[in-house]
Amino acid sequence: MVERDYAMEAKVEERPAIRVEAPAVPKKKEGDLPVEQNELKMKASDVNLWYGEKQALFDVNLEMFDQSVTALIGPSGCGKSTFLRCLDRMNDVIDGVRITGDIRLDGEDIYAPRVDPVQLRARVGMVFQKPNPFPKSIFENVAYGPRIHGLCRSKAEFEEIVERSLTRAGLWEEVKDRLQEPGTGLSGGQQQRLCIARAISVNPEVLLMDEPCSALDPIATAKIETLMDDLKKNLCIVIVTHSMQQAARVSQRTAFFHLGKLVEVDDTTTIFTNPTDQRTQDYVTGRFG
Amino acid sequence: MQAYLPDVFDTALFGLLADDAPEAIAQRVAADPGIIGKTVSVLFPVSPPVAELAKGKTPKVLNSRFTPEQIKVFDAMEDKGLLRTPFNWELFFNADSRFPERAGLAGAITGSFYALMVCFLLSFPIGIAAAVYLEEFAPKNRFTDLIEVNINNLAAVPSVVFGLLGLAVFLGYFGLPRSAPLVGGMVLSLMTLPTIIIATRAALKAVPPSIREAALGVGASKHQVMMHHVLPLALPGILTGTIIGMAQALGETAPLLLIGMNAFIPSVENMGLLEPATSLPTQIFSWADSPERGFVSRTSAAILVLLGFLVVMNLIAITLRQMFQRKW
Ligand SMILES: Nc1ncnc2c1ncn2[C@@H]1O[C@H](COP(=O)(O)OP(=O)(O)O)[C@@H](O)[C@H]1O
Ligand SMILES: [Mg+2]
Repeated sequence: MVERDYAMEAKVEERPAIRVEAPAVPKKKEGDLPVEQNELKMKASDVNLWYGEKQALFDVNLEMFDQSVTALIGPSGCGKSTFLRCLDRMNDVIDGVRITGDIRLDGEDIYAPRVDPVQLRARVGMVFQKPNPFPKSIFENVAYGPRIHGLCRSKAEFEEIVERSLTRAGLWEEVKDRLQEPGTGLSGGQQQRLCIARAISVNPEVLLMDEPCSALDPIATAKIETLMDDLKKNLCIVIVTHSMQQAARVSQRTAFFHLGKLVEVDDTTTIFTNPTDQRTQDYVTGRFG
Repeated sequence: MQAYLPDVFDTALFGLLADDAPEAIAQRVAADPGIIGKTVSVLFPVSPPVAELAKGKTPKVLNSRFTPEQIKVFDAMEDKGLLRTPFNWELFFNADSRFPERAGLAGAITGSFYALMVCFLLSFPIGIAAAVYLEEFAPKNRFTDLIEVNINNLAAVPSVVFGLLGLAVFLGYFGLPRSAPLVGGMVLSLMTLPTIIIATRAALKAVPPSIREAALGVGASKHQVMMHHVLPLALPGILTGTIIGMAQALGETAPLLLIGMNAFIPSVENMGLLEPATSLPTQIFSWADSPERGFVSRTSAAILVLLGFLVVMNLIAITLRQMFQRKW
């Protein structure tokens, strides 16, 4: 275990991004096309949301593209999590939530009456702020999603999907000998990657991540960021993050939220170097937030 | 016996033995006819006053219950080591009897067992279902608030009230048989239901929301979240609450007295859910009320047995709670 962590640390050193803490300017990697050329995956139009009497989102319009990472940044309580949870209808289970507007996945309104939120959540996976593996075995954690959706019939199929998901989540090598041990016994970073494996085990098209690294140390964070780079090759990822460096490192587009409103959305590079709105400017330069 | 104590009159001797000693001889002979004509040693229960004498609880001199000859016989028996005070296992294997030295708890234990079984089978599923509904599925409105307040109040209602309710509803209205463990269990389940519901709701609340979110996040339905994740995690808490509720029910006397579950049961053979029965606490009540001195020690013994059961049940509850404490 410990040795592995050191091994990963060495790898981390190769990533320049982690050393640059302040003015984080993302470098355009070679071969990265402007994401607007990717397929539009999700589109939120005029989304308003109320918790009881209190309005938490005001007319949010946001487009999220396939095979790219969209980062949501903004000060605490500005509605980033709330917006993210609209995208897989997790707010449905909260009492007294009212939503207006229109959110589309592949052009299909996800709030239409005939859409089953349960089916939707198989297409739109979610990773939470605090790693929350089930108090079951590692294997069972990953196999649960495919099981309830009837994706596998035989034991071999389960084993295959578990191995594939854990490999994609970069965890297979570390846990392949102890799949029957409880997932809660892993370290924080491993737990979070287990949660990612669990989320991608049902082949979602969109992966929502709500501050997935805020409870993790820098090494574990770096692993997850590498992972996101890989995952985005066949996923649309939307990530809420508190760390501007992280947004700069992992995302192609960044949306800045303030007091429930979407202030500005653009290429990550533009947001961090040349934002239009004064508030965005103040936030990314650390003047408030 | 005559051989051991040649200078004793028969009548004086038999006065010392329990009233049913002749029956005991008859049974022994019937079981093993070969002993007729031989001299065998047989242990007889002595009559209650003698038992007290043997335990030194009453004085030997000037004891008006015994003739001087009987005292002489008693002394002779004591000298020869013929009196023993072994543990009387009949306490567990005999049913009730008019004779304290023959009376046992088998009937009471069986009756309590039946009643608790009925109580468990009713209150466990209904209690969990009610708690799950109220906690997870019920809309929050005036009506469910009212139900909540009522459940919390029901837990505090004195048991005698439940007894009367059972008497009026189950016996009076539905015409179920008197004294039956079925009715006893139903009345007890009225009392344990609030306990189980409250314990279950607490256990459900204690399951961290992150587990529910995790399950919802991979596309589990509300029902699956409940059955696959929340209930299994809450189960230790639910079981603890249930066992504590059952332990309360086991010790409950008043409601059982009111529905007549203090019948005189001389044999466990005919006991059933619909037959008259007695139970541990009501047996204690009846024995404590008996005029015979011998029932004093029976009562104490029965109380110890009841307390023993309660201690064991509570220990199980505590062990469960510690075994499953917070594994997330
Ligand atoms: N379940 C809820 N009930 C009521 N208000 C909520 C709830 N969740 C969040 N809020 C409120 O909505 C606003 C946005 O919260 P959130 O989306 O969690 O912010 P962020 O994730 O950007 O920090 C906050 O003012 C918060 O108090
Ligand atoms: Mg948040």
